[in-house]
Amino acid sequence: MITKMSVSSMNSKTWYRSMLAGNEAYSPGAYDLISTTILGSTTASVTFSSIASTYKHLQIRATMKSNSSDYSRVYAQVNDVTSGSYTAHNLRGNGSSATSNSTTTSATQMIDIGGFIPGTFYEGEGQFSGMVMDILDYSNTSKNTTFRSLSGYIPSSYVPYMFLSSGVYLDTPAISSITLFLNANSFVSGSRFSLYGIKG
Amino acid sequence: MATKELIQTITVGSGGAASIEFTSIPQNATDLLLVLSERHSVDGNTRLTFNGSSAGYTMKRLSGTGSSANSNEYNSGSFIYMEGQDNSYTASIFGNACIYILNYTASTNKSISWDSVTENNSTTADQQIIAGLWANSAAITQITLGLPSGVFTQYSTASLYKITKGSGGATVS
Repeated sequence: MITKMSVSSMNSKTWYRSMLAGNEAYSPGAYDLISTTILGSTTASVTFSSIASTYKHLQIRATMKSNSSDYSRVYAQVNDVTSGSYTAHNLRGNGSSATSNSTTTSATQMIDIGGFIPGTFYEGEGQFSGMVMDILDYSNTSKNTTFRSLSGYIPSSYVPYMFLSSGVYLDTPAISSITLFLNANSFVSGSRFSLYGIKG
Repeated sequence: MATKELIQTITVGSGGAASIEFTSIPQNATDLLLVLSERHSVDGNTRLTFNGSSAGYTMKRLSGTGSSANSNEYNSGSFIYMEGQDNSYTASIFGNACIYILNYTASTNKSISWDSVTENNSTTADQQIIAGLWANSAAITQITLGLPSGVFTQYSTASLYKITKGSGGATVS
């Protein structure tokens, strides 16, 4: 985005050594929005597909709520792989204690990668969770791709949760699609999912 | 509008590298963000230092191991550290971390936040949230990631970004 153009560079007929011709240098940003989905109805899963290898890293930002009566757990799969190709770990806190957990090795999805999200039990509070997930070097075919996410929600009347989660796809193909879904039930209308590309 | 611009990405080549170093960091931004995908040739931690200094570092850490959670501190140390992606963990998996360095040109002590995870096809892996301080008023011009022994393995990458505050908002002081 050009934010300034010097008038003198257009009208004064001054000769410049630089192509900038008196204007400020422009450096393109490293952080691009690729896609955003805001759900208009209850939806079981959200998939970012046909992800190009244009960027170095990816980031997903989401705010979510489920139609479960209680909280739900956010899972992830990549490249439509549903066999035992994932493992995951998390560190969680609830305001009074902290615990750490792992999923069964070679699971069929990355479990708790987005933490817990509130369900209809929290309806009166209008509570959605927040999550930021970083996926580094996702197109490097010499690496199993590791995911990291920070997520949480803080209802005023119920137990809050915050998560630092990790998951890994135990294979090396470039990541071309990412699907987020719940252990049960669906995301409700108004849940938002944004995928960003980060240059590197 | 705030901007996020890439300064440099370093990729470790064959044979590995004992350290990853960013030098001559531009002094024309507000904050720095370092994004790290790394693995070690031996088991151990990853160490962060600024400007070649080995003094004045303090950190508090909340960590998980896959089966338990802990919190510890490290005061007046010679670096800030995280548990890195150990060689004993499943092959071809790299850790995932981001380090946010605030007000890096200010003539005040420097604060950082550091979120990192390692992965492993086993119960044991590391999740860490770190608050760190470098008690030094010098502007940060150099960032070094080091190891107690061994090397960062091939394909490890570190990307350094500068974050510049926007002009559309106000700073409250």
